[in-house]
Amino acid sequence: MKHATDEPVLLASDVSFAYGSGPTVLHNINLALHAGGAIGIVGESGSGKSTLAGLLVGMSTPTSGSVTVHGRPWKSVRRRDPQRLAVQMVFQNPYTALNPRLTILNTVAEVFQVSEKSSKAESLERARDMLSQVGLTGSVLNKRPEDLSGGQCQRVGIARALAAKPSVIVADEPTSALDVSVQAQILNQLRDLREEQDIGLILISHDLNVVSYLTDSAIVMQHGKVVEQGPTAQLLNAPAHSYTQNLVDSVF
Amino acid sequence: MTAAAQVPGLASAQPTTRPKQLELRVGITLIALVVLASIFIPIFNTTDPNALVAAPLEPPSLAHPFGTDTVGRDVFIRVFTAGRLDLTLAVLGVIVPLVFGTILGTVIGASRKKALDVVVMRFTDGLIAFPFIILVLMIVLIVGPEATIPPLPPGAPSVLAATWLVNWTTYARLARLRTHILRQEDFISATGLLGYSRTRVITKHLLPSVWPTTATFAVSDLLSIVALIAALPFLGGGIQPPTAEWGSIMYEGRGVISQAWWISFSTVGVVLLLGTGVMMVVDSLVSTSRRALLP
Repeated sequence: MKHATDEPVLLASDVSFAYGSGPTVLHNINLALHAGGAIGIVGESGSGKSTLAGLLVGMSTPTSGSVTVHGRPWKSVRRRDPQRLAVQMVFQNPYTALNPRLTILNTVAEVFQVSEKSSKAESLERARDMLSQVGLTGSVLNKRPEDLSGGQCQRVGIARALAAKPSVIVADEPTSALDVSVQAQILNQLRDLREEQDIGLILISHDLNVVSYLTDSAIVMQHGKVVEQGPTAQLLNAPAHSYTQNLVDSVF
Repeated sequence: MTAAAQVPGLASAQPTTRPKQLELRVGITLIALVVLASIFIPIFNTTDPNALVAAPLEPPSLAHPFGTDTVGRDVFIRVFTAGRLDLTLAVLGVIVPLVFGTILGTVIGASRKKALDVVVMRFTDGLIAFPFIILVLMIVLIVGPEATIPPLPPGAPSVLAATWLVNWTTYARLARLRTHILRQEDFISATGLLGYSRTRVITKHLLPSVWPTTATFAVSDLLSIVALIAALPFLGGGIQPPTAEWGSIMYEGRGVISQAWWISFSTVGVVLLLGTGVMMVVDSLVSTSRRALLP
C-alpha cells in the first residue's frame, strides 16, 4: 500500500447541500483523501452518506463549500476534461448500474473507446483484459447484466470504473445488495485495488465491519453531520460519540 | 443465479410469462391472418373491387362470401382490398410520429436547457389539449380532402398529414417522461462520470431504452389510426369513394344495415380481429417484456 502524500486528491471543504429549496441535508462536511488512502463514511440510512457520495464524484454541486479533485473544483471540470475521469463510482445496486442493453464486454470497451479514442477492436481487447482482472472471462463477457449474478455485475462495475484509470473510487454500499457469500469477494477485490494500484478509496457503508476491513480512517455521519471522525480502529475500539457507540454495538 | 431470481419483483413476474407468451402468439396470429388475407386475397381473386359483379344487397354466398353492397360490388374483395390501404396508412401514420416524437422527446428529456423543454412541451400540451378529431378534420380540410399523391388514393395524403402532425406529440411526451426516469438510473449517472458526450448518451444509452416504450405504444396506436381512418368518412373526410376503405364500407353499410347487415358486420368483424390481435400483443408486451420495461 502506498503512503499518503500531503496533497489531497479529493478534498471536500465545508460542504453543505440541500435538494432544491428543501432543508439542508448535509452540514459543513470536511474530508481529505490522499493518494492511495482510504476513508470510510459510516452512518445509518438517511444520514446523508449517498448524498455526500454524489457530491464527491461531481454528480451534484454543493449548496455551499466546494469539492476539488487534484486541486480543481468539480464545477470547473467539463464533461470531456480528462480530470472528469479521476473519480469513479461503484454503485450500490449492481443491476441498475449497468446498461441492460449492452453486453458487459461492450460496457467496459466503451470506456476505452471514449476516454482513449481506441479503435473498436483495441477497446474490446483491453476490456477483455480488464474484465479478466476482476475474474470475468469466457462466454460471460457476451452476456447482458440481467443474465449475471449480482456479484458478477458488481465486478463489471468495478472493471468499468478501473477502465477510466481513476485516482479515486467512491464505493457506495457496494455489497449491501449482494448475497453474503459474494460480499467478501467484492471487498477483497476493492482491497486488492488499494494494494496493487495507486487508487484511493472512499467506502460508504452502514456496516462498521466492512469499513474497518478496508479503510484507515472514517467519518461517522448522523442527520447530515459528521459526529465523529478518526482512525477506523479507534472508532471501533474507543468510540467517543454515543451514536458511534450505538453503531459499534449493533455490529458486535 | 440469474438476475431475475435475485431482484425483488423480477422473480414474481416469472409465473405470468407463459400465459402472456400464449397471448402474444394468439395476437400475432390474428394480426397475421388479417394482414396476409389483405395481401393475398386481392392477388388470388382478381375481381375489381369497384366492379358490379351481382345484384345489389345480395346476402353472403359461396360466390360472394361477404355478400354484395348497395350497388352490387363484392364486399369480400372490397374488405380485403381496403385492408391493404388501411394497414399501409396505419403503418405510415405510426412510423413517422414514432421516430420523430421519440427522438425529440428523448433529446428534450436529456437536455438541461429548461427553456427548450418548456417551449416544446407547452406546444405539445396545446396540441394534445385541442380536441383531436377537430384538429384532424381541420388538417384534412387544409390539405384538401381529395388531395392525392400517387400511388395513394384521393384523401390519403390528408389522412397521413393529420396523423403525422398530431400524433408525434404523444410519442414526444412518452419519450420525455421515460428519459426523465432513466436519468435517475445509475447507469446513466455513470455515463456522466465516464465523460461520455451528451450525443453518445442519447444515442447509445437513452434511445435504446426509450424505444421499447414508445414502440409498444405504437402497436396500439396502429389500431387508433385504423379507427381514425375508418371514422373520417362519417365526418365527411378521409379516403374518397369509390376507393375501398374500411370506414367508407361501414359508412355505406350503415344506411342499409336492417336489410344488408353483412356489409357493415363483415368489415367490423375483420377490424375486430385485427383489434383483438393488436391489443393481445400490446398487453403481452407490456406485461412480460422485461427488456421493454427495464431501463
